[in-house]
Amino acid sequence: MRFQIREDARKWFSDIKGNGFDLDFDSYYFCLMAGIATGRKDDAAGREVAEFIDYFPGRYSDRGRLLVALFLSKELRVYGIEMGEKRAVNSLITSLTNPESQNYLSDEGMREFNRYAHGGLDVLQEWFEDRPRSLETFLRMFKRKLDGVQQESL
Amino acid sequence: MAVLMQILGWEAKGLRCPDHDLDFSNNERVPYKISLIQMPNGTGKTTTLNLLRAALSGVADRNSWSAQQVREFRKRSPQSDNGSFELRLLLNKRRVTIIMNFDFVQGIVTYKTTRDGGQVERFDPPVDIRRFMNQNFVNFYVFDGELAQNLLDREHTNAEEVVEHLFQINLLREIKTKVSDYWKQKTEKLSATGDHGLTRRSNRVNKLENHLNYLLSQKQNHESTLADVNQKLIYQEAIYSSAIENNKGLSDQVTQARDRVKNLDNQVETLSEDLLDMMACPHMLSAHFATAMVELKSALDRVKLPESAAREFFLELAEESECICGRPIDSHIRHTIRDRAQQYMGSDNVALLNTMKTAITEAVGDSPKAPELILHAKIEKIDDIIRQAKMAHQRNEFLQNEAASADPEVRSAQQMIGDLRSQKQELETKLQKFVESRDADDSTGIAVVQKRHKKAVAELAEITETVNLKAKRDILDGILGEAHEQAKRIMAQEICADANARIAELMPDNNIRIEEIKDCLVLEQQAGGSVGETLSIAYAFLSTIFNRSDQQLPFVVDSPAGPLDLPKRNNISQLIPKLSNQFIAFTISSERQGFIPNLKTACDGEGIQFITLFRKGPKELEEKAMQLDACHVTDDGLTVLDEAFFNEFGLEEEG
Repeated sequence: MRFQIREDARKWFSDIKGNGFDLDFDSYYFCLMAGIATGRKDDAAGREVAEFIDYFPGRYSDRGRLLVALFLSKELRVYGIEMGEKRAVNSLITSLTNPESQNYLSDEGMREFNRYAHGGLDVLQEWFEDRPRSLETFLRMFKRKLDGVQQESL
Repeated sequence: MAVLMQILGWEAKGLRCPDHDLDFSNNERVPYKISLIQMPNGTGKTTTLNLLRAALSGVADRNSWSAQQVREFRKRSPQSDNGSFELRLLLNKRRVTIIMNFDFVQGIVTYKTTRDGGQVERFDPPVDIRRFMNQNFVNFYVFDGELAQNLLDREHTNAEEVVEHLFQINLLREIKTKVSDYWKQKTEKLSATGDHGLTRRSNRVNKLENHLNYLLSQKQNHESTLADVNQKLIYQEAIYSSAIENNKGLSDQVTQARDRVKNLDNQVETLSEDLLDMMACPHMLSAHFATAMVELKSALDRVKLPESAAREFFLELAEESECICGRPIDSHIRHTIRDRAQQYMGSDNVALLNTMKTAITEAVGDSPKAPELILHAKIEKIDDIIRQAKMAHQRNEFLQNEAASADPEVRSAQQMIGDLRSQKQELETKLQKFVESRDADDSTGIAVVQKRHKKAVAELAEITETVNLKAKRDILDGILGEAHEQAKRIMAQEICADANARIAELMPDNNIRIEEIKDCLVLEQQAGGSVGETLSIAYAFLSTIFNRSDQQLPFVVDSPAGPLDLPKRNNISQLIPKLSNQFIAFTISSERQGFIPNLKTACDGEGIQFITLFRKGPKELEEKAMQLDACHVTDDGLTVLDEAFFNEFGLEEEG
């Protein structure tokens, strides 16, 4: 399976493309982070989605394991699995990961990963009144909103 | 392929006719051209004919006969529990034996076929001759008066089908089916195969082509206009710069302000890229994320996950007969080890989890909050630069307005530059739509439309090839259909003409004729004839078709001359030697007159086999028969191969 991005996500980020924010995965990453931070998943049913790559590209290539670790940590929490429950931990990790895959995720893991990214775009659209016009404004605003949400969840 | 079928003989045991074994071969092991089997009424002539038909057609195979039908063949006295009928054939010079075994207790018949050195437990004639060994066809060469009548009745026989098979006209129909199968195979995966599909796909290609051309031309126009605007902008900026430079008082200040704006904007851009790169690290983006990752790693360490032993270790252990502690591993323990092994990760997963833990340690270290502090410092810095840039923009704008109010040339150039920048922005926005990624026919993304156009062209090529193939198929289909109809019609006409010529020979004083072959034989202006007429027509028809084709089949007839008057018997006996390469007839003594002598003359010296088969009982006949060498006796019957005995044979009960 591949990473999937909603077509409306591509459009939403279109004005800040360039100057380093060049990859589809850049847009995907910010959606994913918003989705994981808020726990929002979405199937993107009835929406146009594009499958783009099956590996962590560019600057994300050496950060893939961290992203999968963050994802596993979130899923263990979502399913209420304590680390002492070794059998359940093993089972969840085994079902969500695939050591043979370039992205370390099984098909099921990739499906859930993408669901966070799809849900994350809805979160971004709630955080921002309009789609971002400049990279510097987007990044600073994103960080403020993320901090706000994570502060609330404490 | 030509077919040569000959009956070598048959043997009946435990059946309703007397047990007998007939061999139709002469001393040189070649079948006689004519074999006459004289069987008095009540000897089981009809039973023998039915057995012969069943053996040749396989009609009773796979339990097709009811128990009652099967038991109708049972010997009555003494009553038998089993019976068998063995038919020996020569098919294209290969020996084939078909055996029907009767189980009268269960009421079933089973077939055995022996050929090419092997035996199978079913009716299984060679493929090249199978088309002549079915119920309809067999009735044409194992023939009786009733079937002669049926030839004229479309409800009973299909003369047209026999002509088709005998002259292999049906091959044209089979080729047609093959053509149709080929077409189906080539097109089963296609969504469209006809002209309608071709038009639809052609229209789509045209539509996409027009849309693509429109987009390319629009893009070219916008790019050309943008190039023009850029040129004018450069020109106006030059005029503006020159006008500012002429104003010595403001020139330096404006230049300085503009350079500062440029410098600060560049810094914002560079810092934004740095910021993006930092935020693209989840542990720098948020201390919460960093903490979550560190907690995951610590928790895994705490509970010793992944385990030092992988699942494979235990699965291998379960295969051993002894545990590493030396205790034996029985099936219960083996099952438990395999079950519990599932609690452990596979070695691949262990490796992945270990590298993940290492990555967390290397990225986050001991303090999960530290990376985010670096990010915050970067954000503060960029905030400060943005603030400075904003002020520099305001200062620059102020100075430019000052210059514009002091010099009309600057004001005009400033105005023009403003307008041109607006135009430029508008054109750049318009050009953006040409890189749209929405995948639809009406997308404005040129790459998308080009891709869809390419696919549509490929689909059109595919259906064009299909439509060409369809046109070829239709032509071939038409030729084959027409050839089949013509062959059938011409063959039927020629057979009718030949058969009518034979009818004229057989019945010179009768004007009955075949008009056409349409399912059955259709007679001119009348529905049917007398029994004698019908038999003569049947002989004429069958002798015509058997003489014309390459397929040499035996011809077995019940009472070949029985219903005929003496002149017609003479005519028929002239015809019989020409009917086929093997003629087997069941006769009764009353049929001999006017038939046997003429038949002998017509055979022109070629041997005729005379067989008399009768039940045990008439003592005088039995004694007479048993004096002869060529007499075979069974439990309930006698078979005599002797011409004189044949000609003198007579039983009162015959009628």
